[in-house]
Amino acid sequence: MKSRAIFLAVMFIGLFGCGGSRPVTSTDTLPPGYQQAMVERRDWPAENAEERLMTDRAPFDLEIGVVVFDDGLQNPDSRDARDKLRSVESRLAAVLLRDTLTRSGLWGPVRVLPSKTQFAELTITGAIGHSDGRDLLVQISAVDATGRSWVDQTFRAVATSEHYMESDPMPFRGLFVAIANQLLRAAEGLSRDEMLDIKELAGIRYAAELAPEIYSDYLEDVDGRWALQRLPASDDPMLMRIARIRNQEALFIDTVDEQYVDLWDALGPTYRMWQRSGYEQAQYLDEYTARASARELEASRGSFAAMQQVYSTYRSVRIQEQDLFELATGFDNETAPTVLSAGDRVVRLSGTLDQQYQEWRQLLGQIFALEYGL
Amino acid sequence: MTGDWEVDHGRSDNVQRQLNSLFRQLQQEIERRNRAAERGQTYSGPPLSSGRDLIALAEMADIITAPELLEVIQTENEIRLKRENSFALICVVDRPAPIVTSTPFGVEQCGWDGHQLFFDIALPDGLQIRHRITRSSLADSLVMQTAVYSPTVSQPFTVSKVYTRYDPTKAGYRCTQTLTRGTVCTTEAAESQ
Repeated sequence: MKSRAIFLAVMFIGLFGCGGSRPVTSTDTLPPGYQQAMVERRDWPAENAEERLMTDRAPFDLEIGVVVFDDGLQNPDSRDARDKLRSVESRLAAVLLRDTLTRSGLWGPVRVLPSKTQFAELTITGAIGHSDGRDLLVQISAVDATGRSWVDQTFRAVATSEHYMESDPMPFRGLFVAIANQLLRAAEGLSRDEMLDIKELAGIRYAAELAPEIYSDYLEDVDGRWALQRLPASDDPMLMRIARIRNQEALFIDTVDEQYVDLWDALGPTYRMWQRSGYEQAQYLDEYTARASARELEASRGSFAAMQQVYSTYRSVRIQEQDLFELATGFDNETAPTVLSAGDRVVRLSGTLDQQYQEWRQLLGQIFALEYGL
Repeated sequence: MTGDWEVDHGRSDNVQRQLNSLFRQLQQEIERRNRAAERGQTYSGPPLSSGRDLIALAEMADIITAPELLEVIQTENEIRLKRENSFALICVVDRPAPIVTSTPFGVEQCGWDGHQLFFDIALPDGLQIRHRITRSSLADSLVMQTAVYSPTVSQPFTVSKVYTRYDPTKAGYRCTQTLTRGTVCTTEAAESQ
C-alpha cells in the first residue's frame, strides 16, 4: 500500500505538480495503476473452478457457518466506492457459497454468520483477493470445531464472454462449486469417529464460551487442536440449557439470513451488471496494453476517437461504481432491526448485522449468567 | 453549495467561440513564424498544434462540459456534485487534500485549494481534465472552469460554465439517471419522494 501511495504521489507531482501551468504530458501510455495490477497478477494461481457440483455422495450431518468474507478494509466507514463494493461483494460471496453448499444437499444447516464465533461445527472464512468481473480470487479457510483445517486454499475462476451471454449469468459459479467439492473431499477423508468428535467438541466449545468457569476444564488445547478431557453427563441440566440458548442463537442467524436474501435481491441485478462491465473493462485493458506495446496508440493519440474512448471508459466505470455504491449504502442504512424473543422478553436489536449479532450473543450470555448465578 | 443548479448559458463559455479564438491565436502564431522564417530568423516557440487536434480537443471539451444540471450535496465530510448524464464528482473533505482515487482507467485527485474545489483527472493517453469549482456568493452562482489537456495540443482547452440555482420541482417533473433503468422521471414533488 505504501509503495502504491508513493507511486500515486509521484505520478501526481509529475502530472499536476506545477500549479497553474500545463500538466506535464506523460509519455507512459499504460493506464495509471495498471503496472501494479500486473505485478499482483503474477502471484495468481491457475484457474481451479469446477463445473460439476458433487451431489451423489453420502450426506454429512454437519452444521456449517459461512462467515461474511473479510473485505480487508482498514477503515470500515470508508466512503470510497470501490471499498463499499468490496464490502458488498464480501457479503454476497458468503451468500453464494452458502447457497452452493445447500444446493449440494450433502450438509446439515448451512448459515451465513455476520462474524466469526464458536457457533458452527465447521466454520468457513474467506477473503476476496481480486474481483473485476473477469477474474475472481478467493482465499478460503475451513476449520472444524476440533481446530482441524479442512481447506486452506486460494480459488480462482475466470469468466468468459459465454458466461455473460447466459440469461441469468453467474460467471463465477464454478469457483463456489470448487470450494463445495473440496470441502466434500475433505469430509470424505474423515472417519465416523472423527466426525462425532467434531460434533461433541462443537457443543462443549460453545458451552465453554458461554460458561468458561465450568466448561473450559473439559477441553484441552494441544498444539492448536482441541480435544475433550471428559464429557459432562448426558442429563447435565446446564448443558441442556446451553443447547436451548444455542438454538436461540440459530434462530437469530436464521432471522437475519432473510436480510442477506434481501441484499441479493436488491443488489444482485446491479452487481451482475457491474461484473459484466468489469469483464469488458478487463478485456479492454488487455487489448489496450497490447496495442500500447505494439505502439499502435502513438498514431491515434490526440485524435477525437482515441480521447473519446478513454473518457467514455472512465465515465462508464465511475457511473457503475457510483450506482452500486449508492445501492450498497442504501442497503446499509436500511438494515432492519431484528425483533426476537428471549425467554419471556422481546428484544429489539438494531445496527449492522454484525452489531446485532454481538448484542444478541451478549444478551444470551447475560440471561444464562443470571439464571445460574454465575 | 448544497442544492440544484442549472447552466446559465448567457454567462457561460461557448465552445465554438473558444475554438474560433484558439484558431485565431494559431493563425497569428503561424504568421509570426512565417515572418521570422522570411527574415531568416529561427523561432524558438513550442511546437504548433494541428488544426485537426485542436478541433478534437474542443469536441472533447464539449462532451466533458455537456452536463447542464448539477445536484450538489455538501456535508461536513464530503462534497458530491451529481452531474446530469455523467459521473458524479465526489470529494472527501474531512482529510487533507489531495484525496486520490485510483482505478486502472484513470486517477482522480480532489480537494480544496483555497476557496476553489478542484478535481484533477488523469486518463490514459495523456488526456487530462481539471475542474475548478468556485462559489460566488454575491450572485449565488457556481462557476465550474474545466480545462482539458491533450498530449498533442500545446495548451489546454478551457471552458467556464456558470450555474445558477433552480427549483427542479417547478418544471413539473424531475428525472434521475439510473444504471438499470436509464433516465427515470417522475411528476411527484421532491418532498414526497
